[in-house]
Amino acid sequence: MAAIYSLYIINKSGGLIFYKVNHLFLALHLAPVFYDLPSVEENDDLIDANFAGFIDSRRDRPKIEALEIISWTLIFDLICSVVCVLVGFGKTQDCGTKGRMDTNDSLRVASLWHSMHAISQQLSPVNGCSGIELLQADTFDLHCFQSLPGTKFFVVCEPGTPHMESLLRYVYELYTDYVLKNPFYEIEMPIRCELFDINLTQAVQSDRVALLGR
Amino acid sequence: MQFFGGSEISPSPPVPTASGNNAHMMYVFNRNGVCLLYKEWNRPLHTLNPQQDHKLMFGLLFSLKSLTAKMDPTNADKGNLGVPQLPGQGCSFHSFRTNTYKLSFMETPSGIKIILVTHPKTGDLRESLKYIYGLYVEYVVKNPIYSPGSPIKSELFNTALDQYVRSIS
Repeated sequence: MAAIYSLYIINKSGGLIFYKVNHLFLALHLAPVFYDLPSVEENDDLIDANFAGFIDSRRDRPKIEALEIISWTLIFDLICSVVCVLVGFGKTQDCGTKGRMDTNDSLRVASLWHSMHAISQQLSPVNGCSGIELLQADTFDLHCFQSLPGTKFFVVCEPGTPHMESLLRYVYELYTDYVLKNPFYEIEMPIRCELFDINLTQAVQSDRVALLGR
Repeated sequence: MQFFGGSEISPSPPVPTASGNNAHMMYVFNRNGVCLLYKEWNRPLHTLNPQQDHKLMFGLLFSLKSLTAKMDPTNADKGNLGVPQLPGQGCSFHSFRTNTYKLSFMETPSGIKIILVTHPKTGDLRESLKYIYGLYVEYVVKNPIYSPGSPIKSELFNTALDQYVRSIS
């Protein structure tokens, strides 16, 4: 599982057209708060360490098998998705629970980012600035890619996650293939393309992200 | 968030990062947005007049802090976007990079913001910014003639700062 929290796509005028949250990763980070699980510390084998530690701590259970870890993961993911569907948030794929933003907030954040990106070009000491590419904060990193027409793709990930630049370029390729070439897609409107969602989910999984770093 | 772990009065400067990176300019703001210091070493492009430039820089930092506090994925309880954050409250960014420059930022608990704009390939300047804050405390705050909230006019501070920044360039 890649250490990616969320992905945003902003159109030329600063409106949010796509927002995807990595529920399971977010839930695992907040799980220690709600479910008293051991805290997330390392990136590698995140899920294995977390669930194995949780299950091992219960002395009466035997040592956990890999298959059992995977099935726990899938069940958790399924529960998250089911809750999201039940709560009634459709394609924008966000839940209004703690740790995530509701739709209005994500729209505001996107337009704020659009403005900040533009202002950062004004403050450049030398010519030819194309805006913020990487923002490093205490608990996350934000990588941004702006395409030639002005569409911005940015991803919020754990500090130090590698290969985000190539992931963003790959997402741009997916965007041109599955969204722009779709005759029913209206330009600058929110993205509602199944194939784009499917391919994006595949791309965000950790083994794919490493392969993309070419 | 830990600001200063050591108890030294003037810690020795950290080892300079990669050589050959020039510092472009530096800003110091107080909590009210007053620009206490603006130093320029290498700035070929001036888009705005100085007052507008300072205001724009302060506004950018304020908004970016608000953005990072809101976007923090590890914090379950967040305030609303645009609400002024206290120094140290919520997640804050420490640097951002564009293709032409890298901006390193540090805010102290008293609201003093130190900004250093350098070449994009510069490494992590958090330790350097802490050292600059140490210089500020020594030469400016401890100066009995200096009134807080007014622009810094101390020669000693300017010299020490200049010397230090050139050593990390």
